[in-house]
Amino acid sequence: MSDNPNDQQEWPPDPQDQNPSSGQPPSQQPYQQRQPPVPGQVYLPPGYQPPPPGYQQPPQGYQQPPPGYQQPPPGYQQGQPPAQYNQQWQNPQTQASTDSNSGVWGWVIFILIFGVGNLILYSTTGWLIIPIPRR
Amino acid sequence: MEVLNAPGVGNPSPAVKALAPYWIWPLRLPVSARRATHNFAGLAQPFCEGWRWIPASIVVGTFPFLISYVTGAPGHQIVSALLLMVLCLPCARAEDWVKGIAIMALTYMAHCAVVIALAYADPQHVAAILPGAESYWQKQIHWIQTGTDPEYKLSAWVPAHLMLLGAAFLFSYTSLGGILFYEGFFEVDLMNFYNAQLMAQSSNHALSLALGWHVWSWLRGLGYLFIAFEIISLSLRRMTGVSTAGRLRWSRFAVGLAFLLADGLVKVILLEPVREQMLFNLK
Repeated sequence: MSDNPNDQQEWPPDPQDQNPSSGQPPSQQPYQQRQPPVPGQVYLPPGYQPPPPGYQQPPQGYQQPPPGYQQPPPGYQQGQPPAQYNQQWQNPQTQASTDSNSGVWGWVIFILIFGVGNLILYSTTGWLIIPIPRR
Repeated sequence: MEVLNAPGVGNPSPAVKALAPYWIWPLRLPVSARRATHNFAGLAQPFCEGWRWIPASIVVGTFPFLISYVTGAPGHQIVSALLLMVLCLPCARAEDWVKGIAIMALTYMAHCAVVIALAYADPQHVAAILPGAESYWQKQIHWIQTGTDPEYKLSAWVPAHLMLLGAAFLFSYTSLGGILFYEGFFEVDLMNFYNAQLMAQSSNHALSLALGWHVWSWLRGLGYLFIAFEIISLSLRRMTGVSTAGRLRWSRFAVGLAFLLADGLVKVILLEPVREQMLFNLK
């Protein structure tokens, strides 16, 4: 029935993973006195990973792409209409309209499967296979 | 767990992902329908918070019947069943099995109390809105007076109840409990009418009620409460794709089956002594 057999569900991050450095909240962690920095030493934040080899700093004026942006497929040329690839980003009005349609279709599918399906199932088999035994 | 309502669901994300489970193979609901199911299961959430479930359960168990009684309209059993399903689903969604079973138990108890009272006071009017109740009472009084009933023989009773159990599994799963609750209201109403008439024809009303609502029927009802909640919960998890840990699930399911087994054993042992006491108690 799935319109997309690869439907996937996103699960929320485990609250225990919010503080990967320790299982205790900061207030319960023992206080560690820091040593004053040595001149020329750089402190890195916890979890910092060095950039991969070949990484280049972005040019001046570079801005992060909007949420949901996906890289175009290989072979895409500048100026090509965006409809030829699966563009995920939409303006907010279109996004809201799509969500609304998706919600309506979700209810329609739910009512068809759950409501109509059970009505048919019960009217065709329920009377036969549900006995009314004596108490 | 408001997983499906969380913003960003369905968008590619580095979060842990899992394939949607099959509800009934090969039926696997799309994300939009899973979200609708999840929202549907939360419709009655405000009525389940705190202690609100107590008046809500009483209303669900009694109000549709009272409306039918006043108006003479049929259909109170299906209305009560659907309302009870909606009231139970937030508990199934939250895996709150204690509250879920308490809601079902209180709904049925409130329903039974009102139906017995009105069937005792006004049997002709109530019989008209309880389909099959009058003929069930005639069969029961015949059994009490003669001790013979082909339906109470093990060769007939065991297959019928195994079939009922199978039907309960199937329809609880497909209807999230709606059809099972409907059958439950239908069957307890047969018992309620029978008990009201037995009270009317007995010397000791309290003894009549205690014997007429047989102890094995209580055990069966308890068993189906546990089984119904577990199957509803399982079906809801498969429909929505939201799964939570629950190591006690099979234990609760086994408790339900144990009650059904006890129902059969107690019935075999106590059927004749109970019938004799009811016979002696008749006017």
